[in-house]
Amino acid sequence: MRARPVAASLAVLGYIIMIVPILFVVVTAFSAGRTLRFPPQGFSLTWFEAAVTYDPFMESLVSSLYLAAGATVLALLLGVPATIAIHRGKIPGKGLIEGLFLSPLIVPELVVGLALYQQLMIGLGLDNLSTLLLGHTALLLPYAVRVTGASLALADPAVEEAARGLGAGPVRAFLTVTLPLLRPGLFSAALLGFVTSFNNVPLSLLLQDREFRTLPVTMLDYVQQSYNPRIAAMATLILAATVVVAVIAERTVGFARIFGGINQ
Amino acid sequence: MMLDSRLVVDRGAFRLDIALSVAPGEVVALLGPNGAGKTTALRALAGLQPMDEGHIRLGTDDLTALPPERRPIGVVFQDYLLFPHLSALDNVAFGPRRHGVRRQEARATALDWLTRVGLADQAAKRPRQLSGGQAQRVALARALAVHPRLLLLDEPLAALDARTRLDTRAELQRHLTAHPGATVLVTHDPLDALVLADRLVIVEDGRVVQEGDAATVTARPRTDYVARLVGLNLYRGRAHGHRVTLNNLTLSVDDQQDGEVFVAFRPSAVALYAEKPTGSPRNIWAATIAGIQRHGDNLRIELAGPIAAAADVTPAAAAQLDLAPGRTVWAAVKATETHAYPA
Repeated sequence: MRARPVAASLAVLGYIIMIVPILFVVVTAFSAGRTLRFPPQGFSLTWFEAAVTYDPFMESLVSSLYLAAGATVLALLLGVPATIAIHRGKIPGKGLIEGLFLSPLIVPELVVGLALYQQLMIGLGLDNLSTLLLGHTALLLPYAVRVTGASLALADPAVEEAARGLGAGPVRAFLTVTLPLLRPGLFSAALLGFVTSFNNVPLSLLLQDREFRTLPVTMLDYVQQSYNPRIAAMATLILAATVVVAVIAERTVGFARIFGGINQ
Repeated sequence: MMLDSRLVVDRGAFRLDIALSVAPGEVVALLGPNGAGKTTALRALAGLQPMDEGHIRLGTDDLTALPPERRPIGVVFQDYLLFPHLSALDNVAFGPRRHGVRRQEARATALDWLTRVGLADQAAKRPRQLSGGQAQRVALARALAVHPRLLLLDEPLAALDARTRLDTRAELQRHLTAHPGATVLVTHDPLDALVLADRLVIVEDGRVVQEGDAATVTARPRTDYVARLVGLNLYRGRAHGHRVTLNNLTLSVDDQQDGEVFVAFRPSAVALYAEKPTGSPRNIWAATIAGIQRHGDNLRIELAGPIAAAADVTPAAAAQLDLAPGRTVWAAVKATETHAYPA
């Protein structure tokens, strides 16, 4: 292989920009001091204890997980049939329909949030949990449609015909042949959707109330009021959980297949 | 348990309309150029292509309105369409499973079929780990494992390289001979059709242009396509006794006929001369050389003139005559080398 000094340097620079800030946070979390400072003063796990025993964090963590799981499931339930219709159905204007499903990626989330606030909460009087769930679902639809669509595009529709020729009815053929081929796509869409919902701030910020808050919003509030390593410890815990999920995903499906689904 | 069908698919610009009958145990090849509608016909038989008219009857059963999964068929697709997420064994067991056989039993059946096609040791492999020839055999085993009364094969050997094709063709022939049901084979390769089929049905532009056993079809082609396939010069004209009038030329022929006839002769029956030959009773005409190609050990000379014809000459003869595109030569064919038959 030819040496490419410029490309290699840029890659290293990219890694530094991505990873170093995270390292600062992780190192700070193990501080024994009382403020967020680098280098940390001493070493202790007290701030981790402080994070997991801090009720607002734990309550909102549970809320966030519920919300992310619920929105992911809803988005897949809506998005997967939609993507099957787009890819396999004979409907006019497929490109436009797919484009509409992708639009939440482009429309500023505050606009979506404001619309939901006006229409659903004020207009229909829905509580903010339902509104958040619908909002996040809309936000995740692009992943459900695009990522599963990518694996659907790779699966030859004629394979279903082969199943029909061997005695499988249309539903049976879908369940036994197409769905297994979609599995990596579904898995990646779910993973990406879950992470996107879990990390979301703008929508959650706009649609929160005292009863229901997500973890990112709570952490944002916290960091505005107190500047101590508890927030770094919480961030590190989330990071660790994410790494565990990523490792499991890599072992079971493989990153190439998960994220390959986006570009293909 | 005979297949009796008329298949009509109308796509506006293209219309398929063929009648096809196949006896039990018989192998019929649909042979024709690309785009003739062979695959459409096969898909109609399988129920994968809706028909605009016609019927499909297998023995006493009317299949016309049945969806594919309820037809007693087995299909081998051109690119096999093995299920990529299943092992070879589970691919073959898929059909029996869908027909209500329990898992253990279906797998036993599948292993039996894999053994018959010589792939018992590959049972656990996924399709992408199999070679082309192996995948073809798994596809055949998968189609046969449901005991189809009608076996459909779409270009079963087209995806294989020349060497694998030879072995696989021989093996396929063995299985087709053993298959008790009716078999319809779609191919554009005359060799596949000649080796595998009992009867040829030539399809061109959505219609049957000729059918019959291999000997008849190859000896008496009725269209340019078939004539090219079997390597004959073919003309259509009007016969009066031993003379056949073509557009610009009258040929003397051995067979006595009257009315519309085809005249066929082999390229090797055409002799070329620099000077106009005299004496012997031959058909002689002046022709211009349009092209020269290698053809086996000989050269095939494409002739233009009153009739377009192909002539095979030895390289030595070609050198002696100083043949080159654009040159004018004399072409001669003996009446005894021609074959005339009613159109």
